Amino acid sequence: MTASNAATSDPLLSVNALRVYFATPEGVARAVDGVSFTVNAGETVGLVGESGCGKSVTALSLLRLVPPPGRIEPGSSIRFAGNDLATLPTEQLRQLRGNRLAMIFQEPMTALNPVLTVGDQVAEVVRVHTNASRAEAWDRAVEMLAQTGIADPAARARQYPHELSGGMRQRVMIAMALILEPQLVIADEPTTALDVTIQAQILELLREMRDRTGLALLLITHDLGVVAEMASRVIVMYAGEIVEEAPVNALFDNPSHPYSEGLLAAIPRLGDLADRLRTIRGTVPSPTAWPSGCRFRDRCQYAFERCATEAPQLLPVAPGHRARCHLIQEPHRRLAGVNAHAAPAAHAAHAAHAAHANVPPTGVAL
Amino acid sequence: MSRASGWTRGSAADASSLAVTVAGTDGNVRVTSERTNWHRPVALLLLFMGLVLIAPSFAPYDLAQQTTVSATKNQAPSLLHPMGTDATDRDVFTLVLRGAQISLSIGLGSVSIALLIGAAYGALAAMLGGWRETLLMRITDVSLAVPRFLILLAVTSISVKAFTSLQLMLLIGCTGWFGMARLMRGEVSALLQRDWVLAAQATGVHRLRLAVHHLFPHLVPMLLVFTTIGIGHTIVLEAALAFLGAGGSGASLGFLLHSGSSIFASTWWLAVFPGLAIVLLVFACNALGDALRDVFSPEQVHSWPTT
Repeated sequence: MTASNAATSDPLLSVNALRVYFATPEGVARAVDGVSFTVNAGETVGLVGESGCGKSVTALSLLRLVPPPGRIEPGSSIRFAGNDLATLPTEQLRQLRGNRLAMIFQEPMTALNPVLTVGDQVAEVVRVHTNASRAEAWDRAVEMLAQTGIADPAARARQYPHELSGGMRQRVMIAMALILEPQLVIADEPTTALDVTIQAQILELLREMRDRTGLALLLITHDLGVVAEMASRVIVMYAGEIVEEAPVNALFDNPSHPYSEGLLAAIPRLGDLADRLRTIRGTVPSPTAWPSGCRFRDRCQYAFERCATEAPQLLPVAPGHRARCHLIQEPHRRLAGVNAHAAPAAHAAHAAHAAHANVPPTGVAL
Repeated sequence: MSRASGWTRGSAADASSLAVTVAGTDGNVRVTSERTNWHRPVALLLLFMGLVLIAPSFAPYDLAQQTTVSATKNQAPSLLHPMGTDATDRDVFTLVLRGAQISLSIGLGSVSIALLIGAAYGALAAMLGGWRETLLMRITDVSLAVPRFLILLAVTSISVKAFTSLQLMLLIGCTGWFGMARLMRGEVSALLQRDWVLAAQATGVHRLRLAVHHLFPHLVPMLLVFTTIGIGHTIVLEAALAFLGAGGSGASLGFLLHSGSSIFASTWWLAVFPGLAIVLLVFACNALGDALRDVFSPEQVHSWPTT
């Protein structure tokens, strides 16, 4: 049962039985429902899943910034550098935020305060956590902006967010997150809102900063290409649970959960002659009513009787590789192939760069 | 007042019909931008404040110098006394200046008090959230349901001694912050939903700094508009109290109006000029508030009809 192949020392971040519930008028939404994972110092871990599976709520709960009515349930533990972030007093937690543990947000367009200059916002992180004077903090901010590849940083620092392009604003966000050299950076879809060329630049910048400062990176994304490029280990989430956890190569070579398999199959390949893209049929069920048994069974091409009655546990596949699927104990079921009522996985279609109008309502394209 | 016709129409225009069409001297209709018109009400208000502030040195007559010379009593407006004199030989222009000073300072003072209490209360409620927010806001809802004017009237009437201007200021201020609190809570709640608030919290910014450094700049326009409109409103409120004989001990514009109204038929100038001063003062405040609102909501600019 080795959870990690790099468990030589205590992990930097150790999340145990994390549950985040939202009390909504429609019922209790169990957005994150018993998630456990670790991130070692200096390691890059990818957290993957489609929209609504609990990735972002997991990320926010690590900083204890889940918006109300969301609540980290008692019994959850988030060990980080000797503290339990789930129960740490607010003031101590605040001192860690942005300092030892930072976050990069998805939308650089809206994550910067429009009435403050970008230099002001980067310098603020320094001012809040150190005794640096206003001038020192400003100088450090300008220096950091330069490190993130912003040309003419002294002038840019005096500009307001609306004067900067999306890619430049994301560089500012990265500067804010990394200026105090935190041990762990949580990047919640840092490239999703950007153009493809800018995406590559931002990933390159993140990689460069990671290699320079030795920070650990928890990279939340729905883009497996980003994971393959950046991460050494992958965690796949589905319906508030971890369904598979593996070293990145193991996941790509041997996806053991049908959901991971579907995600990988959904990536279009160059030279693929199929005229339709593969998708996973159906959508993520509502977090107020996860299905009984295996939460993926309604969308799974291998589902059999046991899946409806018994919730699968995370089972070891190989060292450092675990998956939440009964197929691991009953591998012959996979060979038996697609079950009777399941339609072919590749029934839904849209062209690679087609407009959204072409995406079938039930298809989940990645 | 020949210039007045041009801007009066524009500044007093309803917010929904912001097009300001001014007939030029050449007969062509020009469309002027509302954004350029804000400085006129500002100028009027500043003029008022200036006059009022320098009133003691500016006023042509000393109010303490009362005479009983019947020849100078109850004089109609003349070049010597532009607003006439009253029954005790005091220059009405000087009285009006001093009255405006009292009215304006009560307006400014009580709105400042209301602003401070209301803004802090509303922001606190929004930032606390949860049941505390609900409790705090229900308290303001209940308070708003109490008729404020009747309370003020009752308190000032019951009191044996007339209130000083400062006491009246406190009284009006302390009963007038509920609306501000409600407005503030709404604004801050909306701001707290923004992504950049979450991002700022993720960098370890504490709540007080978040409120002062991040949220406050977004609230300045709303606060300015509230203040200017609130001053006008409070001046009317104070004038109404004074007119009913329940004002403070100071001779505010409302008090002058009150004392002049009983002998309106013989000495009309004793009531008309203080009344006009109230109208102008309140109009200046409201016009300024409207203008500020237009300046701060530029999105309305594009919805203007062009002719």
